[in-house]
Amino acid sequence: MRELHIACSIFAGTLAALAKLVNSGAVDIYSIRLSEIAEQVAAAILDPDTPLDPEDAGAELVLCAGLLRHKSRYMLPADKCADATPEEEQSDESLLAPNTWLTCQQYKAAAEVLENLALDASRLYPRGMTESRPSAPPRLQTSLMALVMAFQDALENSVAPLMEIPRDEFTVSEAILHLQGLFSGQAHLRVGDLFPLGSTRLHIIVLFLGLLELIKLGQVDLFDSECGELFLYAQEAGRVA
Amino acid sequence: MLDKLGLLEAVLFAAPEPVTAAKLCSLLDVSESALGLLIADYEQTLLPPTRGIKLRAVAYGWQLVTKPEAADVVGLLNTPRRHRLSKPALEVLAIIAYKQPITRFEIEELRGVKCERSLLTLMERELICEVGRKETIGRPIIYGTTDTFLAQFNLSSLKDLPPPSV
Repeated sequence: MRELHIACSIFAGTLAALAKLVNSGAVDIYSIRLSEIAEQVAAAILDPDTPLDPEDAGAELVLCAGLLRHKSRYMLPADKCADATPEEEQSDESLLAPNTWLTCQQYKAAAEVLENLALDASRLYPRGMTESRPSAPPRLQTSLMALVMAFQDALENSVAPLMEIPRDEFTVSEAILHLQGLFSGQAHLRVGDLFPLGSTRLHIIVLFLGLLELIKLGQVDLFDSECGELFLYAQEAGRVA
Repeated sequence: MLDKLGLLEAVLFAAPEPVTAAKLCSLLDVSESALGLLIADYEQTLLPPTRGIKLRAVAYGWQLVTKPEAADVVGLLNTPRRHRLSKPALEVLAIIAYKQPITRFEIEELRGVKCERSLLTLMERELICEVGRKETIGRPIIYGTTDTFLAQFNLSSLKDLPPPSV
C-alpha cells in the first residue's frame, strides 16, 4: 500500500502516523492546520503524474475526514460531553476517528497477511481436490430415444409463455446455423448445455428438429458418457460444415 | 498386521476432510497423548524430501496434503481453479477473522464504506457464516469465520492468525 507523506509546521510523515500521535496525545490537534493537510492530500490524489490507487486514495480520505471529525468534536460545547454517562463516553471513545483509522490500517495489513497465507495454501493439494470428470468424456454409442428424453426434460424445465405477443421467428434453418456455430469452437457439446436457462418450448423444439437434421446429414454424432450425460460430437472430417 | 501408525495413515488417506484429534483418538482407540506421539512419528516418516505428501494441522484437525514443491505438477491435473478474493473482500474477511463475532454495521464503521457485496461473496464461498444475532436494537446478524476459512488459509485454529500490525 502506498501512503501519502504530508508536512506541516509541527509534523512531517504519513497521515496514519499523525492519527496515532493525535490519538496518543503526543500531538495536540489544535496546533495543526487541517486545511493545510487537506489541501496536500487533495493535491496528491489529483496529481495526474503519480496516480494513486483508488483503494489507497480512499483510505487517505477516510483518515483526513477522521482528523476533521476529531477536531470538530473538541469544538462542541463542553456540557454535552459532561452529561454523558461513563458507559456512553466509553462507546463514544470507540467511535473516535483516529482510533478507528488505525484499526482500519491494521486490518488492511491483516488482509495482506491473509492474502499471503492463501497464496501459500494454494500450493497444497488435499485429497479430493482433483476432479474425476475427464476433460473429454468417453464415447458410448446411444440411441435417439435418449436424445428425445433429454429434450423432454428440457421442455419440462422450459418457461411457459404467459402470452405470445410477437410471433417467434426462430426457424429450423436458423437452429441449424446456431448449432453449427456452437460446434465451430469445440469438438463436443453437452446436450444439456444447448438450452440456456429460460429457453422457451418453441426454441427447444426447433433446436431439436435442427439437431435431428444435422444427425441425419451425418454432421453430428450422439454419444452417452459413462456418467449418463449425452454428448454431441462433430464429425471428424472437417467438423460441422 | 497393521499397527497404529498404519491405521493412522489409512484414516488420513481415506478422509476427504481434516480429521479432528478427538475423532482420530476414537477411531484408533488411543489417548490424546498417544495420538500426539503417533502423529509426530508419522510426520517423521513423511519428512524425507523424496516424499510427496505431508501432514498438516488445519481447521482443528489433521489432513494429508501434497508438498508445495509438487504443486506445479499436481496443478496440471484437473484441479478446480481457486478464485482469488478481491482486496475489499479480503479486508472484510480480515476484520471478521480478528473481531468475530461482528455485525455488518461494525465492519462498515471500521472500514468507512459499505460491505454488503463483500459479505455476500464471503458467504457464497463459505468463508464466513451467520453465528447468531446481537442482542441490541434490531437484533442484527453477527458473522464469524468457518472451518472452510481455516482450511483455505492453512490455519489449524483462529489462534494461528498472525497478530494484526500496521
